[in-house]
Amino acid sequence: MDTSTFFYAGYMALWLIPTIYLFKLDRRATKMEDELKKKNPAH
Amino acid sequence: MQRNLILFCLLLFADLGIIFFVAPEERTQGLVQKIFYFHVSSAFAMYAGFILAGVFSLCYLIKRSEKFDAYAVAGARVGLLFCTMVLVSGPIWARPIWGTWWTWDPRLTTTLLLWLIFMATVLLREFFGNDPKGRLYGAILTLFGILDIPLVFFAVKLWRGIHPTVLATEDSMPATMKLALIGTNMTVLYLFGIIFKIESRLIRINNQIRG
Repeated sequence: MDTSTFFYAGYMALWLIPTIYLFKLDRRATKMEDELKKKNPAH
Repeated sequence: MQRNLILFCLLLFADLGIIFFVAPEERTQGLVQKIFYFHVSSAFAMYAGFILAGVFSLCYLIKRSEKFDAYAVAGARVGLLFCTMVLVSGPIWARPIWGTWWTWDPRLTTTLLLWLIFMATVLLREFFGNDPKGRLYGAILTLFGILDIPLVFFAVKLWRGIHPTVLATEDSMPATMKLALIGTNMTVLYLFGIIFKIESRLIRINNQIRG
């Protein structure tokens, strides 16, 4: 693999940080919403 | 939410395509200059997050509404995420161009200071939980933090460091580079919007659970 391939891979890895944050946040929000529904079924 | 995530992924792939295959390689810096698109767009999102945090903190101090507080915390968190991205991508770009990962240039220093202030705000809020005192101190610290934003923005002009003024003139870059920058800005701002929305939702759910 040449330098440019490594660079492109690294560039995409940089994007992964906020993307992974987003997916984890969404999962946490869904989990908490379920928890809230269990606590208060009328919600 | 699923639709938002799919749209974001599509935007991201289209943007990466423009950056890698449409935008030309810069003559002197070469491939590494492509970090510019991500770095600058993250900086815009950072400003947006912190300014939103400041505006909603002020609204909270006036109205004392939980809703404004949730938006202020969400803005601070998203701003901090993108500030981290600026501080990560900057040194990667600086190493081959300036020959060093970090230098105490005015813009770099003021940006690090901004990161530290907002990290303190987010940690303070975590520590206090739902305590109204935490909300009050958090709002005051946020308003103190946004005073650093004009310093970051005008640092290059005020103190003449080595950080370039990237958007100095209208013809400073070819049309395809502008397209890549606009594309990345749109992608990052869309990501910013989704994260802000989920963060504020999460804070409000958390408040309801904790009572």
